[in-house]
Amino acid sequence: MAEVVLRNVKKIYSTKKKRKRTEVVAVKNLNLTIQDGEFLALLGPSGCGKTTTLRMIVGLETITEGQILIGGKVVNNWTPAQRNVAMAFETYALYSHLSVRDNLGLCLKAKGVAADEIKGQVEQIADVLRITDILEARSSGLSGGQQQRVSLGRALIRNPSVSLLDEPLSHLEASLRLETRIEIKRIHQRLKGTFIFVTHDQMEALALSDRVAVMNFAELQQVGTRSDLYDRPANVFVADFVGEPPINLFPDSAIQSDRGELFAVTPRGEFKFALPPEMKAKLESKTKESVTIGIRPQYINVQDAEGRKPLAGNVAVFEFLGETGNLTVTNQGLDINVLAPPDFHAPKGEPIELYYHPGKVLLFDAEDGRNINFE
Amino acid sequence: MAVVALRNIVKSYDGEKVLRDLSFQTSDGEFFVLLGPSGAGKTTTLKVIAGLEDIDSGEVLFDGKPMNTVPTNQRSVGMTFESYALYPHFTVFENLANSMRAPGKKHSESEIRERVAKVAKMLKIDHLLDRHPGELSGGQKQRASLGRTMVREPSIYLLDEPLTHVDAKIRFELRLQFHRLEELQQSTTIYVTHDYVEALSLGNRIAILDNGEIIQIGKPKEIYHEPCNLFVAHLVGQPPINVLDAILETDPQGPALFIPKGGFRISLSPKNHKSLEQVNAPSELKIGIRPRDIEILHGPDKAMVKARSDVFEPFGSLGLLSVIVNDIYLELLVDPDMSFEPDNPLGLNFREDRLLFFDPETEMNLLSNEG
Repeated sequence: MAEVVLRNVKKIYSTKKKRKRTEVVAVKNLNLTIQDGEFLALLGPSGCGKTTTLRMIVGLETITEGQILIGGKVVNNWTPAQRNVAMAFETYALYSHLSVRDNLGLCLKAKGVAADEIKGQVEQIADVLRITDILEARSSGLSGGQQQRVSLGRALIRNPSVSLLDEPLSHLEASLRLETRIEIKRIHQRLKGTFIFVTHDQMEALALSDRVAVMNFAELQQVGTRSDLYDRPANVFVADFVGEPPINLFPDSAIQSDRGELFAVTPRGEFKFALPPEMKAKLESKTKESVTIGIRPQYINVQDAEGRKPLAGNVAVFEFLGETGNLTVTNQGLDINVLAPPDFHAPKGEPIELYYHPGKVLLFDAEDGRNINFE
Repeated sequence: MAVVALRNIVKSYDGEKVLRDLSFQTSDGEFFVLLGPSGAGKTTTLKVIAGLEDIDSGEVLFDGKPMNTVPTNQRSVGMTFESYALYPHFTVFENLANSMRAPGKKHSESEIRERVAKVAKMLKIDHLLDRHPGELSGGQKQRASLGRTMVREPSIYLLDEPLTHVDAKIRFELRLQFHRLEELQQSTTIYVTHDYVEALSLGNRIAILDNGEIIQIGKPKEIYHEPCNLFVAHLVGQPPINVLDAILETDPQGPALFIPKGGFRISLSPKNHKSLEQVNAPSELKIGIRPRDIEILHGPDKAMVKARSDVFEPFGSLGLLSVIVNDIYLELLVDPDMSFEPDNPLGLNFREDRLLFFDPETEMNLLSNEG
């Protein structure tokens, strides 16, 4: 167990082609502290630098600039073994001719640990991972979920100070993914170690971690809990990347003042959102510029409640999705998505009133995409 | 527009049956979804309808006319493939136009240009017509692939896993687009998927396929609320339905279900008890309850079931809570803004009116109409 600190970490890949040097910045000035015992997810689209970051923490990649500290010590020049970190890979990387027991015990054996102690440790980790019944099976005959657990077990058995997981769920089919995801969280709750998890799937990131670090184009966009990313996204990218169903975004919208009240209005006046009075001060400098309005489908309802304001439109599509429902309402060709109860019913084309809480309306700067509410 | 009917289709590869006596009939203009796990025979069924696969026996009928001997190009079907099947060296325009230039089709160049433009606009790819497939995103490729099918104006659309290879956000967008494309909504469309969310969203009706056989055909809400057996109950819904072994008891205090592994009882309403008696339900059975239909009660003392929290995963619109009751794990869907510490006591309440009852041997739904 240990705290991991990244201080101004930078990674530049440079290649030489015909005496021409080209440089690609993979990670730009990254500052991030992962607390002892914390489960942190590194989330972002492919190519955002999340895996490079992970590999620098493990020691599989050199650090161009900056420092990485594990348990208070600068580890830039330490080998992966010296860092005492463990990594479970996207592909399971198990020895197919060995049994699960041998796969798990291999690194302890290599360290020269006594046979009966290896046996004890293997059985202990197998119990945590619930793979006791397959200890004698060859790893080649296992299902994807089982292989993933064995791979995880092999990483955890070394009692690492930090465990790093690189997209461990991406090759599993849906029901197994859900099962393994819960299992990983359960393991973290039991072992209480420092876990860093890389994923491009925002659902996974929210489900598993205490905090999520969102990256894009080699840069850290925001670090926060689910409610930080949901209700206080730093910019349009985070707002759009995190959330399912996706957030409603209305670019080129304007701020209007009507009898002392403030409104954010979509380009042709399709939807007019009342803003809370406390926004006034923040918006004073912005009234003439355009903004992007954002509001999550979860925060718009088909039923009225205290403090809510109405919006009008016509039913375009209702999707019954079993656990939830998605309602798309349109006004003069502009759509807004609303989370509706699965038993909702309204015919296509029917006029409908929607209700939202003004405090949940997000405004983003049209130029730099920054969240105006929380600047 | 057309009615597609399959009658007793049998198809085998190397002596192994992949379609076993498959029969169903769409209605005119219906959006009909084939849902099942991989290897169930979904794509083979589409290929049989398109005439791309021979069958051992049975009949394919369009509007009542036998099609078995009619070649693919005369069947008026349009099929899109999971892998998009675009020509990499053609532009999007050429890819679309090419499917109108197939042998035996005579369209003037101006007609082709007009129709490609119309379809491209509908699919919102009109700004991409000069690009090559390599320069498109997954969602754009999928739209181009659908466009290739649409320009031919088939009377029957056959769509094979069109949303499998696009990311969640694009899938959401395209699903909504499918709902709003008049062509798809008015023509008979047969849509293959392994994703229950797509099936529930898009289908007028859904046929559940497993191992070359139809397991159930029904409207989305029927499939979700009245699955004919455990297989269907499991296939539809995420997280999957909770299934428990139960013993039917007739206590002096009234009928109840005892869950041995959980060590708790759920009292049965007279309605459910009567229905179970009418079908001669065995005293040992399996019950199913969806994660949404288990409620958390404040003050665990009054609760039907006393549980301990295990893992909580908050998502956008729902939170997934896993709880432990003695020897069993249960999964619940709750408000994502709640918070749960591990290993805390909780009181649960099962929505008795939402319980499903299955025969432990046949795994059939004891109370479903088809069962």
